[in-house]
Amino acid sequence: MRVTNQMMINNVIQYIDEIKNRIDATQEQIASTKKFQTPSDDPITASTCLQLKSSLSISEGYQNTANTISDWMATTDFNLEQLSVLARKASNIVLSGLNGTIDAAERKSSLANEINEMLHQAIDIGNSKFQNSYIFAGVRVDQPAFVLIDEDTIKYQGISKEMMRSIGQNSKVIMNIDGNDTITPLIQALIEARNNLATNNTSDLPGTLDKIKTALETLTAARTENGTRMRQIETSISNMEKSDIAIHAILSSKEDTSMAEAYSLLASQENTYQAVLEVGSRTLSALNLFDYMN
Amino acid sequence: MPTLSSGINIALQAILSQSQSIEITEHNVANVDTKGYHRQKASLTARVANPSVSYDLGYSAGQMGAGVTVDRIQRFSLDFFDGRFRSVSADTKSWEYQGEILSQIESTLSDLTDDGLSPKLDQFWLSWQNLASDPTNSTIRTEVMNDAASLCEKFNRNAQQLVVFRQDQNLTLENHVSEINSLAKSIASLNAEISRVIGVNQQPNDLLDQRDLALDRLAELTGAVSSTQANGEVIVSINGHVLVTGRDSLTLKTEPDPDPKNIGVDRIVWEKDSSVFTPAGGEVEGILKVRDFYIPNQIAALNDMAKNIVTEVNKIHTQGYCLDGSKGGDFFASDGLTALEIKLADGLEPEKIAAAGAPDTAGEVEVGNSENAELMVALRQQKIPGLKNLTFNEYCNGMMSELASTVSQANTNGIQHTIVLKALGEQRESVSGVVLDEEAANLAKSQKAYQAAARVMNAYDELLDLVINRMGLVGR
Repeated sequence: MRVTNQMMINNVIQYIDEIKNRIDATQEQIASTKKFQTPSDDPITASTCLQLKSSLSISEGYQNTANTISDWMATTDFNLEQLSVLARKASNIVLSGLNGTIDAAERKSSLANEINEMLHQAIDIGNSKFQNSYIFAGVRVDQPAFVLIDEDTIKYQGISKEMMRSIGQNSKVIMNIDGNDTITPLIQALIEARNNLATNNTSDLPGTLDKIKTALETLTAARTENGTRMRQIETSISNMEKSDIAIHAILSSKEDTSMAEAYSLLASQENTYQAVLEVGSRTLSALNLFDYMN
Repeated sequence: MPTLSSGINIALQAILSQSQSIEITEHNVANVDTKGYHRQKASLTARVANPSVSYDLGYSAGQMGAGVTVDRIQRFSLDFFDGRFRSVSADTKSWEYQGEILSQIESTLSDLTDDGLSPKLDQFWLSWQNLASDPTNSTIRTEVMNDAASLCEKFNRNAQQLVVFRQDQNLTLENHVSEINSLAKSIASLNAEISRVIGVNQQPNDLLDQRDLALDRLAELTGAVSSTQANGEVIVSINGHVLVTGRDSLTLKTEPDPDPKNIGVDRIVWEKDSSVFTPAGGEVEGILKVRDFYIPNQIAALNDMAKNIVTEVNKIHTQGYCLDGSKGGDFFASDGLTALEIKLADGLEPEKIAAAGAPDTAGEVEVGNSENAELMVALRQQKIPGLKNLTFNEYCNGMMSELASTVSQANTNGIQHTIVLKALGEQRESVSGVVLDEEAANLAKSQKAYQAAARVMNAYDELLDLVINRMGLVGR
């Protein structure tokens, strides 16, 4: 084959061009820390990466939900505990009211007042909020759960309904404890206790004491249930976190540049470039027969 | 009978022929870098011998050589290589153009960044999921609206860009058409000149170079093929339609496409009968393929997705209840059913997002209820019948993959064809290119021959001197 001057020059230019393109691609991989810049560089991996990112986003949503509910439940737990403490104190006071050494005046002035104080505390706790939502008002989270209509009547104005939240594709959890079932008995028992103490009605006091004790049991049961749900959520959060780490690892192996590999590739490409330049310059400045004729 | 004057003539012919050889070598050297130049060579032959009358008279032998002459100026080319080269270069250019335009589209759609359609979709679902966990939170409600608006805007922008991409090709096509027209015209006039020169038995070598260059370019543009006639003219045709015959050429023009699907898009027609021009390859084919096939496909897929997202989301949203207890309205505007038009419903406000399911007691307002938002979240992983039974994200992913593999296929084909084209180009160059060393050797050869002929001339000069000045001086 005849090798013409143009062929040699074109080839030199083409080789330089090719190696420069390769160096450029490697540099881009290093600078962007990504193996590919556009989906067409690697259509299949790019599509897999998008899927992985989507599943990370789904899991992020469930984790957001789980974290929100977990905080809600912690608030619920704290308030139920406060109510239990209140109930225990109230039963002690009623018990001391049953004691024969105390007279009617004292029952009325000190004990009934103390119970009344507790009644208002219990209502306040029943109306406690988490991020602007009344936690014991069922699905009517924008209004206080309990209102004292008059001295003797408590009204529950929430809507008793389970608030279901998804914390996984097929896993739902009830986030709220129903205020009406859990707290109303205590409030009513406290009203009764205050009235009996105020009117010195000692004969009905043992019945009231039983009611307070039952209310305490209801509270404890609700707290246990809430605790169980909290543990379920904690487990699912930690599972999701574990699977996120795994997905992140896969994603990184698919799309992130391996720096060590890229740098050594770049170094070898730079050597090739030097060599191509060297050979190219010799080709271009090569003498031809004209230089030797005279 | 050999005569002194005929000897001088032989020497003169040699000198003239060799100096023409040298000039042709010069021409080659001068054009060593000229595009499309085919090297030339003086083809020397012995002149027709004189049937010597003197043989009959017994003075000498007959059929004595009469020296050298330049028979013709040879041009090194192989038509077979030209045909192969042009057909491959048409394919190469077509793929290169497809790859180039599609790559531009791909980078504008920026599917891999956070600005891609798939991440926007993820973000939309994520904010619904957040709303489901905290339906009264007004910040989250605003976020749902913002993320939905940004999803709509992404749809609008993608569709808009694709439409503009189609229209942007008008200018390129117009330039290409005027280039094709001027090439056709110059081939026709070269045809005329070439057939004239051949008619008087000369070699129109440099005109042929020009015409070959024009044919190369025409093949790159349109995949045009040519066939050479006995009189040296070429007939050029594109996809079976004649472009140049003899001294006549047809012209192409661009005009707005009457098809309602192609508003703002030009088409190419033959000026003579307004029939639609179809290229057989080349840059024009590459542009048209992307413009009229790949981009409309992408737009159609975007539209399908936009339409389904509007109807499916609205179907769920209208079943739900707002913060004030009223029934939910449309979430997306129900008349924006294409990617270009999709937008949020007029009057949608954060508190009008229907996150709640139906209340147990009619008329009650269940603000903490997020059953409907949960349904919306579930939509994310539902197979949508209108989208080939894929989820929204899967469909979106499929759209991206399809574009990506088209781009990568076009690029790969472009590279492979370039390799073949380079090999063919080298074969062609190997036949017709100028090698300086060779020219130097030829130059030396002709130079020596010239010098020798000059010496011969000298010898005759001396002989004549002898005859004229010194013969017949006996006794002077």
